[in-house]
Amino acid sequence: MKNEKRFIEIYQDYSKLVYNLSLSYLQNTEDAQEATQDVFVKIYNKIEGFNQKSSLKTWIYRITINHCLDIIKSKNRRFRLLFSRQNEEYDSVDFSHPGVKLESKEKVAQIFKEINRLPANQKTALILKTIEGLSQKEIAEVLKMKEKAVESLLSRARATLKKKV
Amino acid sequence: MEKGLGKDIEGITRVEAPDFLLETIISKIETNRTTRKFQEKIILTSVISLLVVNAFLIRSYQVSSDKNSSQTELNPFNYSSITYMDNE
Repeated sequence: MKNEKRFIEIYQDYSKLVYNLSLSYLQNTEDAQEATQDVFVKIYNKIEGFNQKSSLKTWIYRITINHCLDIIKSKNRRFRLLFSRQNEEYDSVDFSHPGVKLESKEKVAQIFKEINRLPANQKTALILKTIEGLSQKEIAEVLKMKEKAVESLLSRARATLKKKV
Repeated sequence: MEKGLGKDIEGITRVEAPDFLLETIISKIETNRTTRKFQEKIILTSVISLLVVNAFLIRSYQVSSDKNSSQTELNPFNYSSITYMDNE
């Protein structure tokens, strides 16, 4: 395997980040494990083309976010095809998050259900800020946006959640 | 609400990725590589077969056209040898 040592170093440094971010998007242990595997296969295949315009961490954040959003999109597409519901989205996630305490599981599942209904960019900004604890500047870098735009995304996401939760 | 959201969501603890993941990732990479090599071999074989078939077709066309032209030259009643000048 080419660059095996470097790849294992990257895995050791970022597997926790990728797995936890996948859990935040997919809220299911099995899906998150599958996503983590696929993200690292992508990282392995693309690492030679990584041009270092952004940091490795930002690049890995982007790959993980895009992959998780693709999984959600394909789940929604399959749900619409199976049940012929054009404008509805699949939201009956089998919530299993190993990082959530049993006593707050129901409440967190309810919050995630509402987060899942937000537009993709608002959801991403909110997850990166609230769960990942990134600064607005870091989020702007990951999303390739201006800080002001991130601020606006976050305030819209919070306003929507405020009404629903 | 924002405080509530923050409290509940930030209460999520970060967990370690399961130990078996690295092994499955490596085996996925190996499987992908084997599949890619197999596909490359199939493509190469198809290209070579196409080239051989094409060469064979071109060769047989050349042979048949050579035969035709030699037959034409020997044909005394070949139309191309008739000129209409004599009729004038």
